[in-house]
Amino acid sequence: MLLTLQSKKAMPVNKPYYLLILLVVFFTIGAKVLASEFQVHGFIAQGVVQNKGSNFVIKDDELTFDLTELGLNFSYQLSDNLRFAGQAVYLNGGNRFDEGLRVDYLLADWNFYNSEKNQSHLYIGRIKNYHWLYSSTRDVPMTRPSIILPQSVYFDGTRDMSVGGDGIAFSNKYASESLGEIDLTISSSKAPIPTGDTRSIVDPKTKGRLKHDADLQASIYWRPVALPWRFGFALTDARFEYERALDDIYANGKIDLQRFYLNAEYFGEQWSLSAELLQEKMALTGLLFPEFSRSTTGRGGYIQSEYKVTQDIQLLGRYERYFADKNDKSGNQLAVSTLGAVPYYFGFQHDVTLGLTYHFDFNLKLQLEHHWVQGTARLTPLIIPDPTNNPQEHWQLTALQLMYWF
Amino acid sequence: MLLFTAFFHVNAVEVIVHDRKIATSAFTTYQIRQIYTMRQTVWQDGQKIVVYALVSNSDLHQEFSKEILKIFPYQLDRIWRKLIYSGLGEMPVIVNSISELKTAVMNTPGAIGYIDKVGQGDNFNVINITE
Repeated sequence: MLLTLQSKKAMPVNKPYYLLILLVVFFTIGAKVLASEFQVHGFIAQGVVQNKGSNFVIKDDELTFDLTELGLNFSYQLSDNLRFAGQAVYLNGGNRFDEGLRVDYLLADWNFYNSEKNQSHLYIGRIKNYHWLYSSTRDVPMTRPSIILPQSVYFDGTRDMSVGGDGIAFSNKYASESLGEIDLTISSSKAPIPTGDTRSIVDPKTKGRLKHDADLQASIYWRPVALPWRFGFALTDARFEYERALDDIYANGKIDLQRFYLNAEYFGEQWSLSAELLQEKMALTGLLFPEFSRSTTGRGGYIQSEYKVTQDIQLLGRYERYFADKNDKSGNQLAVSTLGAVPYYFGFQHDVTLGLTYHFDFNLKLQLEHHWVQGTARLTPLIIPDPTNNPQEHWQLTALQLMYWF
Repeated sequence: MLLFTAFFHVNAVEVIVHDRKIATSAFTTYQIRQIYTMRQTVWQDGQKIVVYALVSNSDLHQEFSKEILKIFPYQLDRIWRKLIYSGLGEMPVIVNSISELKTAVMNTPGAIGYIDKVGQGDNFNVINITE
């Protein structure tokens, strides 16, 4: 079924055949661990999605199988403190991001310090964004609470700008029986941004390219000893340059993006709870025309709970709010400033999600979810919104996905 | 071969290690949890720890997680998946049966695992866990 899926971009290199063949080989021989120094893991997931009232995944009201996620990774422990690891993924998320094969991570992990309380690592190469709750595994279906992650934080339109890149990460894990666990991570990397992402961020008519110019991210997580909670705080600061093409209607420009996150998780036997809050400041200079300048601060977040009904059945409930401009929560100023060309509901996006998961086995599950969404602020293109294809304030999405991993 | 017998039962689950020298030290729940959440990856002498576990829906794994580690099995799953699918680290080697796990720990230097009970004549290095 995977091989017969229609591709929007018929580039042979983008086809997941090689990855699929490798996955089948590993399924067949069951060789998830070839030796204790060399580990191989992977996942394969296929789903179906329908959105009504927007073009989030596919054109309004259509059903699509553009929900394929394949991954294969290895980890090789070369010596007691040096390890190499890599993962290739094939993703097809419909309109959400570019379809194709990606090197998800490919890194050297140097565990340069170990003591009773501290474990320090340097990761060098293609690294992930390790700072938010699901950012490092946002494309790994069985690690997510839902098929579609909360767009306030995990905005698919900027997926490739946020997922990680080529650079370096420092991590220190501290643990003591009095303070609990404190994890500090600092990273800097530059993401390769596909042209499709540039179009989905700016406008489908753009001919130039966005380049990730600078990046610094940091996070700290604390798990107290006696409490079933974990708390996190993260900061990201990134700059993207837009380089216009010769026959481009857009000018050179830059986007400065600063994000602040707070999150909390509760772990109960039956219940678990998680929440993330985000504030993001986006400053746009140039791009629309050379002298253009605009700065907005968006705010959003969600709270979600997962409830284990039985060993095999799990329910999900989530409430999410997002405002593209914290000083224009109704979106009215946006509508006025664009003389009505951009409707007010592009100023926010709120989502209520219910989900159901059935575990067939410890490594095979089926996930079903429905989203009731109000607003279109997290639909692409981001900078030049598209009311023609997103003419409704209220829209819905249903998704079903089967996933297997080893 | 000498039998190592200096242990006492905390639960029906026993934690075993390959190296007899390691088993002579007392461990706390906290230390075992550090090892199984992959936050401690080397023994005190610098040797790499090779962590073995059963599949997560097995009764013994569920009991080990809740009674010995004092965390829920789904938390372990989340931690391990995050490590291996983001490149941050490794997860335990998962085996399908207790007998496989026993054999693996016996044959792998630096290994740690868990079993249901120690039978007569078994030659496992069981570690003493205090709260």
